[in-house]
Amino acid sequence: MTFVPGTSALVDPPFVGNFSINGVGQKYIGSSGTSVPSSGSIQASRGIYSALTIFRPYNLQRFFWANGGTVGTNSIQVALYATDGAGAPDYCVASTARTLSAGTANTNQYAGVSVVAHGITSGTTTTDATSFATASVTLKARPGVMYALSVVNTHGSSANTVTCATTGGAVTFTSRNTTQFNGTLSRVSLFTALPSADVTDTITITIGSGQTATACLWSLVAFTNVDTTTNDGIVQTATATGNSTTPSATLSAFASANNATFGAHGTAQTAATPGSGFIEVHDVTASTPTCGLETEYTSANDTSVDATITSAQWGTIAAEVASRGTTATIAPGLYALAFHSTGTTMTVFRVSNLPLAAHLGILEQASLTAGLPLTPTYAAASNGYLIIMGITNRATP
Amino acid sequence: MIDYHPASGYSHPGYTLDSHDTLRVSPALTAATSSAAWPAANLAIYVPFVLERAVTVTEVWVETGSLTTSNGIEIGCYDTGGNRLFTQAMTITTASDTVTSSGMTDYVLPAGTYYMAMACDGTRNFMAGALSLAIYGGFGCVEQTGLTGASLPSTWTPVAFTRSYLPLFGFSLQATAV
Repeated sequence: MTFVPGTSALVDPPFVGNFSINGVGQKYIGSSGTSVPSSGSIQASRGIYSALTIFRPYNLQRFFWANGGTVGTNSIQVALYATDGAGAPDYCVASTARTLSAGTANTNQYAGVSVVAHGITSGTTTTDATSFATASVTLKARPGVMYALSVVNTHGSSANTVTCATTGGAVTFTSRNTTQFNGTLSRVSLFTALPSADVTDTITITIGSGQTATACLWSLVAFTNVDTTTNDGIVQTATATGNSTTPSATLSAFASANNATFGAHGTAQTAATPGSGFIEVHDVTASTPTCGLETEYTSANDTSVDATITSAQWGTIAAEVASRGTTATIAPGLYALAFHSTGTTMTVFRVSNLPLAAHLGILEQASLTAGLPLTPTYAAASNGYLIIMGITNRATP
Repeated sequence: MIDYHPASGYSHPGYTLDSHDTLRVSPALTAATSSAAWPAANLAIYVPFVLERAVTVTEVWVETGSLTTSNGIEIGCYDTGGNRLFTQAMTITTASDTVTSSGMTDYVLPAGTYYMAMACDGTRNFMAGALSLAIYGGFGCVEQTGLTGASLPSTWTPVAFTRSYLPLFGFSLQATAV
């Protein structure tokens, strides 16, 4: 006798979320009685994850969440994560931009899919060398995922000879732009890569031309929802150098209102603040010699890619990142819904039941100041929040 | 040798389908209902639901509230494109009881996604949930104002839900063979 599983007969409703037939809200109600979600806050800079099942191919038009009584104070990010089939987190399939909690209190808010950056690793070495290695990272080959590696090195060649590749050679990064700054003392470079298969390795940054650098700083960022068809999704770049408090490069008009903005600021300074509207991904610094690398992004268009430092020499690379669009088709399977807030003043409708968190599969991840990650690192929930949020196949209203 | 081909996740909708249904909408909508005034005259409320198998709708019904005020209502069903599939008009005068339509022509709803609709030409009481509109909106409820009396339009023009009010109404079903 052969067992052949049939196609699920279940139908996804117009609003798929924690409390629809797709989510764990059914278990919550069954376990805890009649309490319903109420307006309240969520911990800041924390990913809250809950399991979600999609039964049929789903036409994701928008994410939604139910704002509570206080809006307009903090920003929210909602995302959908694929699992590896065994329930383990894999990668961010789709995410909203970091979106200011807005609108009328106690109503739903909506946001489409955006290009979002996720910090992977950053580091610095100030030991003189001709090549430098990052920590070991896993580069995933997934639709819409592009990796951007920003490098600042000192005492490099005036020629652009910096190259980057995984140490085993499986993935080579392509240079998108580079510029010297601080006279001939420093260089900032931007590379991108699209792995053809998953690879776990360190990344070797080679200075080249027989040059020895006295410092090297790097920031590896993964972008999701990128149209990688051309130049790995880099539509345009711009560079600029100067000696002031405001590293800045100016991009041309954007090709699409959905495209995102990225900036890598190399500085002869040890700290930087992201420009207005930008989210800091990494702020890498070294003191001997004094230098810094600030990487930042916004899911929106911004032709003026700037940051703030204590006055010093700087070199900036700005880039426009192509979007795959604001909607997505979600394949049937097991996913995780994720929620992130920048602060605790805003409120959303949620239940909080820590004793039930484990069996409901509510998990979390703390210290996510740059937003939700490419791949979650789950930990036990500290509050057991189950939030009214999800995805809808309805474009309006 | 017989192969076994189950249809996984199959559920039977039972003999009624209602606006607070715990299988097809959400358990979060199962808060207790109480008698409360219809929010506005000539308002329609649309509540999404899904069917995993075909059913036959034989009648429609509503739970009335504690007043005997006479108002006209309609209860009907729409597809996801906003096209009215059927509707039943009733005049409600009864207090605190279930009022069921009479003589509706059976309507077969295939498996799929639909919106259950109710409209009222006044503000009499019905049994209703009173959760935050954010909760109802978070499950896809929408509304439409400015109807002609209680007449459900042939094609809807929905807007975002603005009511902390979800009446208890629904369909009487007869299971239909797949």
